[in-house]
Amino acid sequence: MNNNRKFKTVLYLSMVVAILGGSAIGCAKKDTASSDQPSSTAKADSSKHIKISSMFPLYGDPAQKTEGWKFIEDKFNIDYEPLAIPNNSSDEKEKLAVASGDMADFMVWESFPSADFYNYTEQGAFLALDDYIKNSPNIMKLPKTVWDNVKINGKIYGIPRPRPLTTTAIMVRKDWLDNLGLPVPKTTDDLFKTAVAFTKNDPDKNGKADTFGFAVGENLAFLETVWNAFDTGNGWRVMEDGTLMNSTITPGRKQALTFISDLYKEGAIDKDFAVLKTTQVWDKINNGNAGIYIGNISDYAHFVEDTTKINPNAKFEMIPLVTGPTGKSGVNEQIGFYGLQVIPAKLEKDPEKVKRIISFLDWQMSDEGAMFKDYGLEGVHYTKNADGTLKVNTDKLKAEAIGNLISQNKFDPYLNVSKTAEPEVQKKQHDMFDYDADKGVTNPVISYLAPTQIEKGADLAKLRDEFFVNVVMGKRKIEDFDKFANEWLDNGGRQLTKEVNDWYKANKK
Amino acid sequence: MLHYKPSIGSRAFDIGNVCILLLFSLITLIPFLYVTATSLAPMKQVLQGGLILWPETIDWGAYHTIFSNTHFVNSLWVSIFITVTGTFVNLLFTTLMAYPLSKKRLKGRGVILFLVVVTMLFNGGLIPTYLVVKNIHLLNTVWSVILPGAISAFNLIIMRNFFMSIPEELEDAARIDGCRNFGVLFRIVLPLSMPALATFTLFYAVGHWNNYFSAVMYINKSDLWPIQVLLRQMIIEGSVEQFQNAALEASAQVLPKSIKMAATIVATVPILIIYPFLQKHFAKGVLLGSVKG
Repeated sequence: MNNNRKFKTVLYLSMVVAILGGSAIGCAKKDTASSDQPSSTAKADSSKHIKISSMFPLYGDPAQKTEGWKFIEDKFNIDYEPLAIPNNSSDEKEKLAVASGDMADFMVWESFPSADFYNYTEQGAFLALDDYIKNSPNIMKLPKTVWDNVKINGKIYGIPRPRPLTTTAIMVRKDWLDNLGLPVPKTTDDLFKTAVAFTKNDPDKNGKADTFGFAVGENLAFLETVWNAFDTGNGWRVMEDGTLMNSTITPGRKQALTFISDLYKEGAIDKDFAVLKTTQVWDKINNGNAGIYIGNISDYAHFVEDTTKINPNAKFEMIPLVTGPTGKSGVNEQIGFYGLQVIPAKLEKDPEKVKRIISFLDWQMSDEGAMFKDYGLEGVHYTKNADGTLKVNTDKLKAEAIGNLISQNKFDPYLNVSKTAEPEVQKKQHDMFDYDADKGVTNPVISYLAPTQIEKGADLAKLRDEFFVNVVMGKRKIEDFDKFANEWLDNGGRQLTKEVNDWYKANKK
Repeated sequence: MLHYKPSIGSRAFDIGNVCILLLFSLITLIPFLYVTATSLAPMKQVLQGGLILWPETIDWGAYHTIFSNTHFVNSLWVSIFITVTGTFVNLLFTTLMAYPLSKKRLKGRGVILFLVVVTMLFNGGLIPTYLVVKNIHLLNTVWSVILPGAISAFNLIIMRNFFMSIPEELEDAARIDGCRNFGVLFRIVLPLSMPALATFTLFYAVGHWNNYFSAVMYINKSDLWPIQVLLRQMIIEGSVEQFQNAALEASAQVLPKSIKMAATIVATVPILIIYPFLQKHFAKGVLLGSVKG
């Protein structure tokens, strides 16, 4: 009896501790926000030397404290402290930084649109930047589409790190087409015939049936332009009556699925697709098993390099988009940036610091900043030849990891051209980005995250992927599509569609 | 050795046993072999994919890439420091807490033990823990990965149980000979606890060596990164989006896959090496609790 009572006391005590702990978390942000302002009373003064820290995800080696670093500190009269965090855990670390009130002076927030970002913004964690950036020429060079995508309640809370809006291309083994005497496919029908011929007619002339048409990954990845040829829509499709329909259940999706499952029946799609990760799909291309790949233009460079390493005769080419039965074609238009530079709200009391950060970011987005990120400093990392070309000290550049000193980049539609690839490959990528520029299929609600999407998005995606994969593999019939569409709607899809349409009506531009 | 002729039944049993154990060792060995072979195989063989158990020719390129990284040696020292100091701190504090808790004469023992068990079931979560580490000014020091986990509740309880199995009479004898509490602990109890200490040395050391997450969370300075953080940093891995956005500077002559495998070997082998030295204690340690002295 006595023992039991003791136990209870301890139990209550520990519960109290737990509750106190819980409420401490809630307060934590406020506490640190008010206690951690080293220079809040400092008078605005551009000649004052201030300390600025920046947190961003790091790919590769951290930058060394050498001439490049010193250059930045002198140029902006700051003590620059880059806090590079390993890209593997950067998402968690970013959340941690915001939630604990321990943000750097400016920081890259990666996931967008994300529920966390909206929540933190609503709670006032980030500074609204509209007034600070309006006179920054390079920052304002970003296209309007991108600004529209980042605005929350009409305000800008982060400066996007620009990326191209359209990045996809169809790539085929040109040497296989030549071996079989086939033309470059122009329509989905051509593509079908090509893929089947690649499977059955021994395009590599090695006498073995070891080839197939499409390299596809898990959940039918790498078929983007095929979907678009059948007019499935990119995420959400504007229907004829002006409402939005999720591209999971559009009529085009049914046609496209029929197309792909027919291909699968012919053996023209990788039999293993359902379990393949990105790099495993790439292996199929590199080994000369697959002849058609739909993916990022930036990946083209390593395919050319790797396929020829295994087979010197391999010729991998990017081709124009194919058109579907109704003459449609296109590539998914992306959100146009990867990550946002955010500034903690507590810096509102220190406008001079914000100004300095903005001018630093503006410089990073200038031509000079882009040169610095790619090639370092003139006279230190590179010299200009008489004909205008650059003589770059790559070893020094790499050893000091100059590019990782700063995290923002210029708006450049050709950002993903592989700068280290052969000039010929670079030219092809360059041309493909040009070709893609007006082929984008837009997602009208790309920056909106519906409540149902947060709550049920993962389940709906699973439902979709399972059905699609089963249809393609012949485990379910395409006639079940309407049944599936209803199931999808009943499991939250209807609510999601309503929310998205409401938002679209209210925010349509 | 055998003085009797084993029956057919027991022979069949032995043969079956050996086969099954061989199979198990193969199952554990093959992945390791695959990783080693892939790290050494030439580029072409790796690109062709498939199961590589033997490199066609030896190519040290991947290892060269890793060891020529300017941060490598630095990170290696950080890791060694964390592992050695951290394990020492762990053992010291775990022992100092476990020993008193094994004594019945300690008042409030049950309450303390209960509180320890509570921490096994509930913990503060990432952000509160981060705030604690921050507010005691451990951020960006190696101590941030050593001190917060100085005592593992689970190990503490096992250690206490081990101490309880040591006969009280030995301690009484030591006291009669003039030992105080610390004397009893360090001269009598600890020497008798070598199996337990060896086991926990291993547990703690492996934990410190492999520690990745807390180092990423608490350490922002790249010159304090332990080896695990650095090695993972060399491998660009992640979502398709990350692939696309990463600066694909790995255009060199070495494949990311080879580097990945080589990094795995470099990260694993040092800790593998300490196993043989601790093994004889370790084998005894696992038995702990099964036989009461």
